[in-house]
Amino acid sequence: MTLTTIVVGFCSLAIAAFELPPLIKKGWAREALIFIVMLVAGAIVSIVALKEIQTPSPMRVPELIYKPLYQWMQHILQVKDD
Amino acid sequence: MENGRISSRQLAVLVIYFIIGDMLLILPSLTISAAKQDGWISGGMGLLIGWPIAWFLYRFSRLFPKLTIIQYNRRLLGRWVGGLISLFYLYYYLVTTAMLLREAGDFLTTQIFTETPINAIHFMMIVTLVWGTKSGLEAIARSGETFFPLYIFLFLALFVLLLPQAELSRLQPVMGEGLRAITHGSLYSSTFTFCELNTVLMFLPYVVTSKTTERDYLIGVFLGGMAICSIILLTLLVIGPNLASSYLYATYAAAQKINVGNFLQRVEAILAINWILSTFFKTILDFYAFLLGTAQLFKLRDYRPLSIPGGMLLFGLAFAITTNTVYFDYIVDYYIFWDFTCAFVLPLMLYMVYKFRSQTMLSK
Amino acid sequence: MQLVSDSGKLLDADLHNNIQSIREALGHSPDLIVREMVLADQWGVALLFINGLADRTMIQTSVLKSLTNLGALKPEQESSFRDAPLIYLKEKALTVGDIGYVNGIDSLFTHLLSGDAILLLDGYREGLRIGVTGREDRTVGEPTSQPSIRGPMDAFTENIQTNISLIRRRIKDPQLWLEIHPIGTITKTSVAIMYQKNIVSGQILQEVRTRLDAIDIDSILESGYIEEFIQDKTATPFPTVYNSERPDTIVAGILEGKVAIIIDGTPFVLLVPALFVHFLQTPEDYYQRSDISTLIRMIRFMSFLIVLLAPSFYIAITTFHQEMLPTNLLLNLAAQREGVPFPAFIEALMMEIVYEILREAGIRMPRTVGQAVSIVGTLVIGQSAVEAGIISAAMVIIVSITAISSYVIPANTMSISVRMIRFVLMGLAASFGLFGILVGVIILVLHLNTLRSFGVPYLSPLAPFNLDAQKDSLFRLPWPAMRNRPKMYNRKNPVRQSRK
Repeated sequence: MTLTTIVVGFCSLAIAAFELPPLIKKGWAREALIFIVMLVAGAIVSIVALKEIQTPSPMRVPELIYKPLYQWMQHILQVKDD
Repeated sequence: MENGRISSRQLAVLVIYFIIGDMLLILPSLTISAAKQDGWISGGMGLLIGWPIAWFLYRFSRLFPKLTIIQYNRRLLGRWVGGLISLFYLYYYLVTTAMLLREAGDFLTTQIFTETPINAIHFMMIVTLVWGTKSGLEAIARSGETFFPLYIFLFLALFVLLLPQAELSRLQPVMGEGLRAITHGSLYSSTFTFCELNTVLMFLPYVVTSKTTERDYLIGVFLGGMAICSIILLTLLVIGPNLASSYLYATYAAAQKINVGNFLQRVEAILAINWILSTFFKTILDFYAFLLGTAQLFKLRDYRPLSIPGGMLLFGLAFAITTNTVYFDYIVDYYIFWDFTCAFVLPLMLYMVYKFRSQTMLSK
Repeated sequence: MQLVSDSGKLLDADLHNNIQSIREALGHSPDLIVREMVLADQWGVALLFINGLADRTMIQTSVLKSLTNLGALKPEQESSFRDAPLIYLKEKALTVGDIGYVNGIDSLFTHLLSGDAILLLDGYREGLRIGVTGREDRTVGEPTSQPSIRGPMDAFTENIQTNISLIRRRIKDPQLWLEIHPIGTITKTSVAIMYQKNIVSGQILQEVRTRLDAIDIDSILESGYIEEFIQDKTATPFPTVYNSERPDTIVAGILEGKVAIIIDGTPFVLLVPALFVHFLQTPEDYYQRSDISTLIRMIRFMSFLIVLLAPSFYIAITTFHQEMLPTNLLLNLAAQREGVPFPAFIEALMMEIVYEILREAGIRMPRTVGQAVSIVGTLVIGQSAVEAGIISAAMVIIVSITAISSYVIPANTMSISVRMIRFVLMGLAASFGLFGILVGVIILVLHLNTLRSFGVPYLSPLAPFNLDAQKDSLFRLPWPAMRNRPKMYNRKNPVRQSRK
């Protein structure tokens, strides 16, 4: 448990302490749930970012989807280059 | 959920910021590396292609005036298919926001604040994004209006200060690269500017419509497009095609050449400020689209509580999105398809489903 | 003036019981004067008033005289007097302008302690209150905090009646309406609102009434108390309620459709709604020619920006962006900063704090010592600090320009806010240079755009942009061109001048 993780965890708890009570008081369960999910996800990726760990980029998704199109475009542009 | 309302004029201002966005800095380099000295023609072609797309987006949103695209997906395609398409859009908004943040971070850490860790820059920008989304759409629109005089002033100042250094010879030979190269360039200048405008589908429902709204919107699109074309032209005139195509921050390189009477020098900061402003508004609108869309997808009552967690997600994603500039150059081409899908292909498909549905309704 | 409606415990029928209970409630205060008399040889009456609040001359000449004259009543008059003595006294005998009934202990005390004389009649549960207020008040003088070069020199005083009359004197229109709300459970301060009925927005007026009625505190000593209670509930350093000592400013505001709130006991009158541009305007802008006024307004706006940004820019440029300065200047600055041990941020912070201390001291300084302090401040601290190498000369210049610019901002409430915020910007400049300043300014603009003053967006007419209202915001067009009133907070009566 490095310092980064502790700091991020502490900040996340502080944020939750700040933002959750009003939600719960109003009875907004669904909002609180999504809030917590996003908070945890955000905390995880923040720790990864702060530790400068290299991860696959979120751009991998569109990359996978559009790879064929991309290759076709490259082909077109290359062919006519002659 | 979103009770704010923005006026047509504010819409036009936001559209101008959106179209110019981060392109102020990087588009010239992209178009010029594709079309060399004819990059400016690519710019014009981009406007010719992009303007109808922007119009199509507006008309498309008129099909469901009070709903955002996320809400419309659900209504038209049902919970599951609609939800899938919505997730696609939400992923797009989130990653685009992160990409924009990363661009800002890269620019500032490589050009100005070389000692600062990129995470610090990201953090500062995310604070403004979170503050802005918590303040609401109206505050964002009004702030856009507030900064607009300054923005125009700095934009024109850039032109005025650089024109003495412009040389028409750098544009020659005109059309030398051929139509194919120019078209290649226009792929960038139409999608990254006008197709990324599809975010507008998330806040058009909150515009107070009047008979001038459509006209104001189209004027805004046109002005934004003209601004982009003129920036490409200016960059070409001042630093020439070779330098512009090899250097990503071409406009910044051009701005560094400002020299008035050996006194006013190294004021490229005015470009930096302008760029941060328009990128800020594009980023915050994309982030807003993500938050609002998520809240609408899960049928929440307010999107505001999600701002801070969203910001944390952005923090992580902005770092992860590119490993280095080589990857950025590579991935940039993919964005053409992604933008085009979200701005044209998907809405067109949705439109066809809508037409099909209403036909079957009529035939019954 | 009827101040409080009758309520609470009723008076006793027996006169002496009443007098006794009133004396006890006031703790046998020596300034309560009780004048007992017998009218027409059979009616026991008592006249009570507070020495110092009621006008003794008026009591002697008007009230006592008319009471003693009752001795010489004709028979018909005497019979009608006997039937309903209070009514007779009120309607026929007393030669005083302002008379009303009191029949509750609470209202009796409120009126007694406001300077009215109370007339009690033996055997009756009602009494009369007689308006003979005559206190010692400051005469109408010049405004102390908002001087001007051209324009009227009268200012409000602490007396609410005088203040209301200063406004009435300028608007001789029956549509100028007045309402009085007493606020403060112990002080029972009179709070008046005045507005032009045919111009004001009904929504804003109702909002003012609602917020005033919601105030529940024991004392109102100054308009600042009211200001904090009625302002829009967002945490912000910026003022959303305007105050002024000058009748011409308040009257101009009333004629634009705003509501004026006058509080007894202070010459500072409030004006709502108040937008950002109002705090940069003065009444003189309208008395001098429009081109001069426009220029001065621009200077004021520039001063606002200087106060906000100058120290931050200095810190940012000298720390991060030295290349932006012309080479000669850069060399000079570098030479100056050579011997200074502190980074630019600490330097700036120290100087600004010292300046704020000097400023605060200057307010409380007795006038005789004031001169010495300014000499001490400038020469000793500034000059010597530079020579000792603690701060650089450029820093002194920046701080002085900032200080002087802050006095250009006409409204004190706005100037304080700006001075507070610039410290935050200085911190951002020290950590992230121009980018930090930009981030700070963006957040500031976002914040300003969320503010509303009584429902009107704070940065109107800049954003939402209102072309017509631009004629009178950062610049001013000549009077013949300003045909309409500002549309932001009233739509009812837009035309100021008719077209000829």
